[in-house]
Amino acid sequence: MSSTRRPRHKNPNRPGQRDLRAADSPFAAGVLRLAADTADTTGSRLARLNSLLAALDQGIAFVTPEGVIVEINDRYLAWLDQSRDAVLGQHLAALNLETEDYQAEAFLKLFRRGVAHAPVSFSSRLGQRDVTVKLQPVLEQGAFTGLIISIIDVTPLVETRLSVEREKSFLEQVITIAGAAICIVNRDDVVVTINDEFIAITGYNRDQALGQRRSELLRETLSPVAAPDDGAVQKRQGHIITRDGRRLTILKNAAPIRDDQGSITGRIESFVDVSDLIRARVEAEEASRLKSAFLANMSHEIRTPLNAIMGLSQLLLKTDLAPEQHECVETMRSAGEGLLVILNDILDFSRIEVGRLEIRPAPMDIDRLLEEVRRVMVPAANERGLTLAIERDPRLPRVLVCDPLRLKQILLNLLSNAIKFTARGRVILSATRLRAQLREDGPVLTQFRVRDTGQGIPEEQLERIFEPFAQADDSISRNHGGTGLGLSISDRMVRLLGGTGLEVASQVGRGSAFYFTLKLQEPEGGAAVQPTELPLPPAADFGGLRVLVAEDNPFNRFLLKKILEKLGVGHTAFAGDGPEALRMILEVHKTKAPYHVVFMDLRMPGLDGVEVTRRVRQAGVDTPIVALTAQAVGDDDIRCREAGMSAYFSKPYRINDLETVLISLVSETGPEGNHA
Amino acid sequence: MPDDARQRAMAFLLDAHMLTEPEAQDALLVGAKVLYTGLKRLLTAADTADTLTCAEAAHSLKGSLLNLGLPDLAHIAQQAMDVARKNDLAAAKTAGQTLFIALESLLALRPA
Repeated sequence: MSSTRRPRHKNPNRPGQRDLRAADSPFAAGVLRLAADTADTTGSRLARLNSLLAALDQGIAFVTPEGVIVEINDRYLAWLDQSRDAVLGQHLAALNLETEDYQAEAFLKLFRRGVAHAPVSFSSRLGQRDVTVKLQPVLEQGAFTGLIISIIDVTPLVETRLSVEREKSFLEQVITIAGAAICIVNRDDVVVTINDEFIAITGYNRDQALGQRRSELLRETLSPVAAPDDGAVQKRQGHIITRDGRRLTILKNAAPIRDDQGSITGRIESFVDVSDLIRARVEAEEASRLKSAFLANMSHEIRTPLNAIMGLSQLLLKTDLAPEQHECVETMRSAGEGLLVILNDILDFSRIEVGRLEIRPAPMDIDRLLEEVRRVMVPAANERGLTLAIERDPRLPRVLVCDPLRLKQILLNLLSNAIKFTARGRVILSATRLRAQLREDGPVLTQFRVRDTGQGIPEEQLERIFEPFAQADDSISRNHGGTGLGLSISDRMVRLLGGTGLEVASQVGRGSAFYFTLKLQEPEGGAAVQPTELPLPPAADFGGLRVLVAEDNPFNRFLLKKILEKLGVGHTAFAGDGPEALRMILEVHKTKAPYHVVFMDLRMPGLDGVEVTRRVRQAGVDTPIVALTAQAVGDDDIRCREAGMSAYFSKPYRINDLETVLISLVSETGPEGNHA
Repeated sequence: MPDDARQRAMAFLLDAHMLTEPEAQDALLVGAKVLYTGLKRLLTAADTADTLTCAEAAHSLKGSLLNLGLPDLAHIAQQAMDVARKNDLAAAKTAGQTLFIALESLLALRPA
């Protein structure tokens, strides 16, 4: 960088001819001395001053009182994009300092006339730059001898400021149009910003809200904080009181506002009024509960006479009826059976809808389940001349944890559909362990698939096939009956069992495949059992189990004895009436070998099952007691549980039901580690 | 579905309880005895105006019939119980006689 010492214009007031005094800057004084004292300045001093000027980040120029540019540094020339020769000797206007509000020429005149003495600063533009201009008059013994013009590039600062302003403007816009009330408070909980939605919800306008403590303004009550205040957004439900005294339920998000150092300087909150939604939800839940109760009651009310119709139809069919009469009664019986299926479907569907379908996972013997399903469906398949086959992947463990009742229900529904819609060929149920499984110790990815060689489903009908009350074709309900709920129920049950839902692949004329995948755990400590031929061994070892059966009916006793034998229960004792049952339980309880489970008929001579249980519990005996009843009265379940019973069975009980209960009870009480 | 009570009960015992055929035969035999005793008890109680015994016998029959997989007949037993409790012992007796007819094939298993 160089700074000239040779002005191009002759100037009587040249600073170089006087002993200059800087107005307020050592640097300015140096420049002036440089200009005024050319002859006396040594080369080294000039060099130092040149270096100083070159090192400056600001542009510097010196102008005579007449407005002639006599000195300028390289920085300024670079910003002007001009050469030194082109600028020196030019008028002040060449420095591009004019703005709408500030004109350097006018200030020069004021300084020259002695009207103004103080330096002047203003903002301007120089090319693409935002600059701050400072006009520094040089006075010598009170006389104006020239003007130092310094230019500082403030473009980055202006950019930052504009960026902040843009961001602020954007945030203001967001706050204004947000669909939620927004309130910003400072560290003292004083409201500093609100938006229009806040005004709409709370009824407080800006004059009433700003400057007020938020807690006093809204008298808020909130649910407890779920997580500690670590700066994350807290989502809570609570209540506020509006200006007109209404109590609103709000859903609120709140987060602290922090400064650069991380200190909390305030808080931003947004909330929405969910009072109407909550009210609607409560009403909907109540309506749903009523609907569910209505359906359950209706189903019970319809089923009872329906059972009578079906039973009596059966009896009539055994009598000597004329062929026409026989046909009529058979139609009546068949229609009743169909109606029962529909009733059960509707009841299941309504239970799922209100989330009341209970899922009871338990260790389940896959082979047994598949065989049971096959046995149930074989007659229907035979009737239609179809082959029903079961394919079982040998890599599947024998015992897995699932709700066997629901899984069976799904498979029976799929098989029933497949048989219904297949005129010839076969229906295959397969259970496969998927290869995609990576971890050996994780849950077993098990795919159940029902394939048929039926008529198939057109692609356009596949999309809605799982919707409730939808059937692939309206003619189906005419020809095959049904509510159209079966697949929908199965789909939802698959999801309740932890699957992703039912899937279907179908080709018209070639058949369909319905399948689903479940992640099934192996029971803890349950070793894989190799599949064997039927009859199937039990899924758990009950050899160490001691069971008491309290039942006065000899046939029911006989049946339970057989079932428990088949399940491998090691020790079974029997009581023929209530007092005997009570005595046996209390006596054995004092020994080292108390019963693990008691099956208790509810109606027995002497003392009924509920009373026996009550007394057993009063005596401090906590042995699981399973109620057996033929009563099936609505509140039996409640009475049994209130008396201290662990489970409840309506006759007829089946071997699988008893097995499931034993497994769950044994898992809870853990007798000598005998169960698988 | 077979329409004979014995066949139906047999099918139920094989399927629901996974009994073998000999086991199911044994169960049917016990069932036949218990049903016969119960029916006789019901009819006698109806004849002697013993309401309580009549209702108890009907209840017991209902449990046995349910466990034999005969819900339609269990329903008739339930009706017998209901009418017995209302002191309508003639109706209870009719229900008992109906059951006798419906269970004929099963009761025939009982040793003479």
